[in-house]
Amino acid sequence: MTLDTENITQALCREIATVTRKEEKEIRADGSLHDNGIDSMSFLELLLFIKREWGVDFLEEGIPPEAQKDIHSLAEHIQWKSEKK
Amino acid sequence: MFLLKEKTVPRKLGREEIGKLKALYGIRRGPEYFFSLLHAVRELGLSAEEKEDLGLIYVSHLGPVHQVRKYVDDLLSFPPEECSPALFSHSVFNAPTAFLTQHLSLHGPSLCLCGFRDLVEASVLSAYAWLETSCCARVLLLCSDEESEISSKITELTGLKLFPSTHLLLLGEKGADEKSLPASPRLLIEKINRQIREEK
Repeated sequence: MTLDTENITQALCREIATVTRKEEKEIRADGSLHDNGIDSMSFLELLLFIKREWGVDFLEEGIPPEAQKDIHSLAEHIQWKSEKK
Repeated sequence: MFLLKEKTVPRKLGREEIGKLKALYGIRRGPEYFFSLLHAVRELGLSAEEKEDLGLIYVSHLGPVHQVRKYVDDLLSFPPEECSPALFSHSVFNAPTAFLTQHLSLHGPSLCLCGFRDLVEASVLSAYAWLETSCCARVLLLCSDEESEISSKITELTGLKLFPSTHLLLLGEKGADEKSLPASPRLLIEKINRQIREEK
């Protein structure tokens, strides 16, 4: 799978749907993690998923506020971090 | 939980107020435990080899007490099929332990032990069984309760000063450098047995 923002966004939406026990269509990529039902425990699950899938470790340094705006922004940040490695 | 303001008498908070405060500050025990454990394990400075074959035991006096009581109470009041076994879950400890195992890529077994008494003894016995059956080469014993019977028991048995906020102890016969670890479960069990004999 090519590592582009769209693919990352889709994968994030799928994972968010899984951890929040929602239908994938209910997840809004233009909504924040909180708006999509992510709480502190599911947030940890999501961080571990991001590390596993793309090797980006937010557990060490946290997600910057600008990347928390919505799922798209988070995907863009993951792509940027992943390319920077 | 009490709310303490300057120059005021502490006021006990109601359930609703506690809920609002928790929501406001995002206070949940699971993530708190995870980050405290992660910080403590980092401080321990385990080598990649030590992490590779490491078991994990999390012990706590907290957590299940309320749920266990509620579950048992429900069993007295309702038919078993109407009692939720989820209340019996130790997930508040299991979740951070599982996250830690994933994050550190630990390949050994992991276990949570919660209860009132003899937790250190139970965890040392479990660690001994894992080591004897070659489930793993070393076992990390973790506890994030503040000063408790667990931390004092560990210090009493090993004479080791523990990490101040999260208590952790590496159990095993040999470290990655092949040097003997100070906390050998075999020796700890001998000490525990001696203490039991002396008490009798």
